[in-house]
Amino acid sequence: MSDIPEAIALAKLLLDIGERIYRTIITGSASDEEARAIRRVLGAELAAVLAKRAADAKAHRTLGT
Amino acid sequence: MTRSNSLPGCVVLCLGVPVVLLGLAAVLTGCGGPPAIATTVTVRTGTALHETDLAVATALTEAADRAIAAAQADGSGFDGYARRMAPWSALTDALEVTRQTWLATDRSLSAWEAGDDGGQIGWMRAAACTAGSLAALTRALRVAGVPVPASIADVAEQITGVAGALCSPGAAQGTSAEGHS
Repeated sequence: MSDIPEAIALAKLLLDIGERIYRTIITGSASDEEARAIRRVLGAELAAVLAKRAADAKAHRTLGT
Repeated sequence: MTRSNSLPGCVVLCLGVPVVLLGLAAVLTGCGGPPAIATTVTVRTGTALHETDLAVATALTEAADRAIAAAQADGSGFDGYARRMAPWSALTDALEVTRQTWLATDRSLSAWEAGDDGGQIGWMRAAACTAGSLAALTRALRVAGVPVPASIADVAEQITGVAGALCSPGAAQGTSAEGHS
């Protein structure tokens, strides 16, 4: 008897995962050009990391260490 | 009673379901390389990470200016600035961890495309680590008060659904970012 709720949970999980994959598929496949562009961008340093470094340097200049 | 002989249900689900789904996807797309969904999820995740990075960079610069002004006003100096910026340090750490796990996912995808042995399982493991680091990134965004971009929430769901929970313990350093938040 206790297997029934587990079966329902499994069915719900499968439906949920299937829906996510379906949504990914219907939003369209990524192009090679898109893939190359994002590889180039994320291969370099992050803008946020650069911004943090610049902010820390400004704080050192303004406030001292 | 009889369950002691079987694997825990969540382990079977987490490992089995993604493998079955990716296997089906491979069949549907003709085998011999990654299914389109693996490429799409990888690229969409990278794009979402890039968008988030730009949004964080802008918000962080504004927050840093406010933190400098506040530290000047109350005389707490650089320590006061650093204390106010702690959530942003955790956030940039979480972003960097996610970038690293994403790069690993992308490299695994290339290996899979090249037909390397283990390319598929390598991609699934790396993608699962990316899912873990995205969860840590989401928490860090909330702690810093930055709205979580919808694209991050979407890809976090998708990559988790596709890759399952194959990340080896400790590999997703993103989980260590929880300590910052």
